[in-house]
Amino acid sequence: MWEPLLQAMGMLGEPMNLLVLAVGAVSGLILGALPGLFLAGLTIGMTFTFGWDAETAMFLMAGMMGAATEGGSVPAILLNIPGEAPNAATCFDGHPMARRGEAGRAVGLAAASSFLGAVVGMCFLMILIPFVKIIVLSFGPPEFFMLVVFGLLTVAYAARGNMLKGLVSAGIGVLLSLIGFSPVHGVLRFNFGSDNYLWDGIPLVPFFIGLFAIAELVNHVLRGETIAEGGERIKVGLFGAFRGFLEVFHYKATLVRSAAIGILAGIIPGIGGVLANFLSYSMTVQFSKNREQFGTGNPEGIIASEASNDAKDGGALLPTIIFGIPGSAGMAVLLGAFILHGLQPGFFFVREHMEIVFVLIFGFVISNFLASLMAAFGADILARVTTLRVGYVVPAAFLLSVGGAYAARENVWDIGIAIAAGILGFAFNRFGFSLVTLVIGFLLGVRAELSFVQSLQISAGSYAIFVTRPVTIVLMILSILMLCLPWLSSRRGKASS
Amino acid sequence: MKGSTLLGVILVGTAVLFFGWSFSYGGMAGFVPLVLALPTVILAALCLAGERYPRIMSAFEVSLEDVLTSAAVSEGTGEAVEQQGPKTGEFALIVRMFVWFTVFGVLVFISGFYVSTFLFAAIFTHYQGRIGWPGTAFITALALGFFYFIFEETLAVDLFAGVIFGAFIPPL
Amino acid sequence: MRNLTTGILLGALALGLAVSLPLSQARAEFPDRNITIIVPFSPGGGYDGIARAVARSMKSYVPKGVNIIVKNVTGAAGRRASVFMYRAKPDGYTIAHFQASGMLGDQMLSETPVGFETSKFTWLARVGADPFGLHVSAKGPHKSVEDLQKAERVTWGVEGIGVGRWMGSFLAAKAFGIDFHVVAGYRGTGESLPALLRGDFDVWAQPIDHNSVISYLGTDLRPVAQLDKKRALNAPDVKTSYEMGYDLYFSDLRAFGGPPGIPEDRAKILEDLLLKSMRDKLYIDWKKQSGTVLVEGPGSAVAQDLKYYESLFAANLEEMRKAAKAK
Repeated sequence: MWEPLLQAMGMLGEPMNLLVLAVGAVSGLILGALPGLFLAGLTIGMTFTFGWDAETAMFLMAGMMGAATEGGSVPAILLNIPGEAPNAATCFDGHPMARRGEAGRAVGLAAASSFLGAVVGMCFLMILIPFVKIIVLSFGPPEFFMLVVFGLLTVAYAARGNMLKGLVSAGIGVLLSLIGFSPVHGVLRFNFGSDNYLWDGIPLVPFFIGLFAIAELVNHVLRGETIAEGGERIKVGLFGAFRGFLEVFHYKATLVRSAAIGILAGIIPGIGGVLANFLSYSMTVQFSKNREQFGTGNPEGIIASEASNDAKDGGALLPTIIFGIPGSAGMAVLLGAFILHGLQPGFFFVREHMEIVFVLIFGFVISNFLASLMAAFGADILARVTTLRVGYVVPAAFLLSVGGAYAARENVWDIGIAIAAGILGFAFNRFGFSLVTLVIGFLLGVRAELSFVQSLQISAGSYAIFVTRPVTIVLMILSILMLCLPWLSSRRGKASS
Repeated sequence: MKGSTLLGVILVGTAVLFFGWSFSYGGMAGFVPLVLALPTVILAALCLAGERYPRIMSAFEVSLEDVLTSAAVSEGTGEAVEQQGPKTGEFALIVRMFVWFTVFGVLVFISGFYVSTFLFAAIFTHYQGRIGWPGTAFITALALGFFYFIFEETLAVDLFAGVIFGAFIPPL
Repeated sequence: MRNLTTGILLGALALGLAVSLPLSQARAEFPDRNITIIVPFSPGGGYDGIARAVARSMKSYVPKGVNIIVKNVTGAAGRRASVFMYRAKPDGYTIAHFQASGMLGDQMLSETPVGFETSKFTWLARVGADPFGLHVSAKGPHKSVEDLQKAERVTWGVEGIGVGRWMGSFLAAKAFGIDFHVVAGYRGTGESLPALLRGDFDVWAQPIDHNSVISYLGTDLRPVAQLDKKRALNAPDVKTSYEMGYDLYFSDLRAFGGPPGIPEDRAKILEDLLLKSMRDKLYIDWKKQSGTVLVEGPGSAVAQDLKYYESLFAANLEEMRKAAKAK
């Protein structure tokens, strides 16, 4: 344990590695802020590492990946357009805060929670490494199904405002997720005549860019001349950003809980940071004493979102390293970098290449720190975007969003999906249908079906598989408890008053 | 027809479409979507009925948590709170924006990213955004430069060239 | 505006010049601009890794200023790249690293037109074939092929019904006379391997000489048969299907190919380039380091291999289609 740690520290001490890490952090920050471009950039970054030492390459990858979600929070706060899909929930409270003229505070809060989330995430990673084999081997399709159901049940909380509308949104999200080729059934379903394009379902990146970015541009036009109310020059100052930075420490519980949710969602392949983000937000709302303040610029909302989406990397690294199962699209590219440098992920990776694990951990943490610092310092300048006339911002942001929607897969039809999702997102928002539940339904719907059918394929059709395994029983009890939570907490509330 | 009613109709329609469609798949492949679509159809229909009979809607106006905390909260983004009555011309503006976007999308298919970006940035910024020509020229150059230098050169993204320049539209 | 100008130029060229003067054009120093290698799967996978390693070696065999760019065109389990390549310009500047046997299977098994014909691609070079083995978990109830043959219900782990590994599993089950039930929905080797160790399913058809399984052989993973004529390097003690008396060879055929109709002289240049790159020290070292065992070959070898798969699939087509539909 100590030798690889010292080795990794030695590597970190080399000026070249530090430089690479810093370059990675800067480019990750910028790419993360531009909708849809991060993955393309990360792949190019991987290509650059040809011929480098493995650890230098890992510093670049960790640098880019660590900074991206921090970068993505900035446009989420300033423009209500998430740079990366896992920043979507940052919009809910970050942007209202910015429109109130407190953009710097919001950026500072996001920066600090990102950094601390990453630290907590990486700490958990270190603790969990010895147990990972047990975790992954005890988590089969039935357990996964229960977990997904648990996630789906949170829509009952996330569906705020009108519950009926929230549930309808979730239902529509689930139905949309069923589009495409179903590997467990071997049929292409609900394909609307498309044999190719919809094979993999509705593509996530353009769908999200449409829902959150394009829809929001129309709102900006409707609201008026500038993004900040009244077009006042928002004075942030370094002081504002750093006050936000320190404010995080008032909400330690939120921070730790959100980081924990991030790790949990990250560790299970396929769920990814997007879900971590939304689950963490809705859980925070549930646990908060001032629920009515959410959506109006509550600092806890920003912390919930940003701490979870940076902590998820710690979780997602686990299956990537131990099994070669990428927890997210970014992790898939990291896996590519492993293979490119002759590193073979597997149970034995930790034994043979623990120094690389430490390199990644250091890389992520330092990159997060650098990115947070840069964002906090830059907040003042960046906040000026909100005082630009929408006539400038909207066409620029629209073209960038469409370009990003296209760049992810270089399929021109993705532009169509983005614009269609823009209309859908705008209409949903306008008429009080929840985008949060739509997204949770969309992310989990088809995964629920998949693991449900998988479980039955394993058990030869017997439903007993869901109630005879210890982990599924625990998860089921947790789900029931969660549904009862409001009643429990209200009884406690009554008792105390 | 009110916008919300239209959306309600579309949602019910979507759910019914999936419901009906699931019958065409045998076994579990059809059964699971059927089970998922049914409640969506019912809930969406209730939602639509709520347009007509507000009492249905108000019965659901509070969510699980609010029943107990008695604090009715607005939707997460904070948009719903400021849902003012429809301003005159607002609807036309919304439609116009999406027409702009759609026209741009169609244009990309036909003439590729560069020509459509040039046209969109120039015309939209000046006429819709009411920005003077110098500002418009700046935005246009910025967008084109970004696409070329960042997308194509740095990120090695092959931007769609457009059918009139010989690009082939991937099959649907 | 690079795309625009090249687009116009190429449009004109394709109409006039490409038909009348391909030879004189081609002789003038092909390649004189960047070559793009299309990978049908996402970055991080085996196909991507090999393409990038080959591209790196290839760089030293092409004229200065020519770059080798690797691009991932993903979607529809590789079908999108096949269609894309089938329609790409056959000028030799766009080639792909295909899973040739898989795309042939996809094309033959599909009951609707897939938009490409595998045999018509210009096959340039074989990257190698990974013959499959049948693996069980070392802790599982089955220890040998005989155990599996005796078992009443045997589950096979696959990505999706009717695609990729499923075909190899189906054919192996049929040849060996093993029961065939699937547990589907695992994405790639990364998800399937732990699922096998967890006991989600009984058998896993997977190349034995594959970098992802090497470190598990002999500990957690037990290969019980290999679908090959000769024994794999990593499993010299495991009997082959032919030794056991079952005539079945099945592998992942990895190959470089271009759109149909690349002029012969350019195809030859590309074939030489690719073979040189795959015999380059840099590539061989990379293979060794990453544990990849692959034997390269000329384009004609791909065409030959494909003929074998064509007859194999044709002989089992109706049964496979029926099995893919059975619920």
